[in-house]
Amino acid sequence: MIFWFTSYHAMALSEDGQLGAARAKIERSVAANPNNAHGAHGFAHVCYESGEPDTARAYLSSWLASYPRDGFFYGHLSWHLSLCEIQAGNWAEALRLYRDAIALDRHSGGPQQKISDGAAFLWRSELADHPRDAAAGRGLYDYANRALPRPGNGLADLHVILAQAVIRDDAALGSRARQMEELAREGCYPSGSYLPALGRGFAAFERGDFSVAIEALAPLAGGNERIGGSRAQHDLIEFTL
Amino acid sequence: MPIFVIPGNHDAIDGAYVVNGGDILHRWTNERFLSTPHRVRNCSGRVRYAIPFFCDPDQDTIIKCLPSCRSADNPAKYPPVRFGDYALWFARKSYEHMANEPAPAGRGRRPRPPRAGEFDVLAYKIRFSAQLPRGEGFFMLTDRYDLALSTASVAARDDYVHASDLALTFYPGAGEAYDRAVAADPGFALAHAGKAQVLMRQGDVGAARAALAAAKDVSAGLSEREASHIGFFDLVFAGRTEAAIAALYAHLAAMAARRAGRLQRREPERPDRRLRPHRTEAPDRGTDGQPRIALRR
Repeated sequence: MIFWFTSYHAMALSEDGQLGAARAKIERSVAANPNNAHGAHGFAHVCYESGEPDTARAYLSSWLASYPRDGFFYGHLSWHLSLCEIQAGNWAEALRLYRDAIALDRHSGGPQQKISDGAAFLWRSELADHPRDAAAGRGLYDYANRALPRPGNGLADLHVILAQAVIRDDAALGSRARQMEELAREGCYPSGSYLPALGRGFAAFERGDFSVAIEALAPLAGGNERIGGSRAQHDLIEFTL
Repeated sequence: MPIFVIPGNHDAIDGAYVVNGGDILHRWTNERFLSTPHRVRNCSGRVRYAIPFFCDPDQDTIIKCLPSCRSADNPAKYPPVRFGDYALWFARKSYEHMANEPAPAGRGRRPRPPRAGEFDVLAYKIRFSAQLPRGEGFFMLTDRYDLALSTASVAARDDYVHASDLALTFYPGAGEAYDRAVAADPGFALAHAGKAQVLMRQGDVGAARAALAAAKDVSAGLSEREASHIGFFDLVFAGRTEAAIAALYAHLAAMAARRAGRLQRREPERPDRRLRPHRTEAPDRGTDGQPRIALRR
């Protein structure tokens, strides 16, 4: 069991910026049980945070080769690998990973992972000046409305908001923001007003209102501890800026 | 009968029994029969049953080198020892909870010393019963981490352990394995709760809630730990994140307190750990608790 706890402890340390301790811990975890998707995931995160995409890339490619295609984390770890490929300038390989394992109909995870990984990939690809895949964006938007009709997990909600902003569904953004604020008032939504503000920033960015977008997003950058997740996810806010 | 005394890995032989000699035979025969280091590994990739059968002498039996196993050139290597004393010494040095165990009362008779060439088994028992009580019984099935489970079905327990391994590491097949556990014992609350957890992360909210409701339906008489485990997921599923986190701290504190209490009282988690039918993956030690050397000559 130690392998499992250390894989999560390492993630927490890495999210907290304690990269040396995180590295030691994740290496212990992976050595104790290499066949643990959380261990591979933690290793990918620690490498990402430490600025070692090539190490993560080599590790994830070989790890995924022996992980079942229908394993719950196949899609999410393929997304991590796609980040490494983008960083390495291998856009074609990143796109191949997207089509193979990250796209909505190919992803092995649950709704939260499908939406988060798909929306994050599409958004980052646009930030990198690749043309928008409008059909994929619409598909994610429809799926998000269906599978996650109400807010719950902050990290997934961030990506639902992104999908809604891309479609420019201001009504949906507004109603989700109100739901979050209501949950926050009931003490059931720890991130409070963070995501409603983020939604306003993304919506402004989409309509090209960059000064409003910067005004909304800048105070939020670096405040990711309020919704969980890691820099691999939250960097898209800073990259947008 | 072929007897392997060669260290190394031996594949199972079809139609054959493997008998591992222990320390008592080792002492009795003056190392003619060695106490072999043995470990049974499951390489099949599947869950399988191991039913260990231990064959021990009576507590009062004096384990003394058999006359046929010693000679002027080969004197007895070990002094005589009463079996009960030897077993207790081993248990005390191997298991923390046995450290202060009093010596078992003898039966007040001295055993007849064995005659030359005699090699009789004075007592044996099958330390295994398929009839398992639920709750705080004498015998509890446990999970991979030695935590007692409220099921009387060995098959359900094995599927549960397998399912939990898969669920923890995000390998496929956990849901199906929990289903098999529930089919083997519909009253196995933690298997329902495990299934609920798998369904929830797959986004099947309705089915997840139904599985957790099934867990709660059969939760009468559960241990405090199991009830608290289910209660935690109940809060998570209800979206009560902060209450769930508080419940988790309480759950862990209670586990630590129970463990500390047991250690203080020097009690085992269960009355007799050896009664548990187990998956033989842990290294098996001889009764002296030491890694053993098989081949001395």
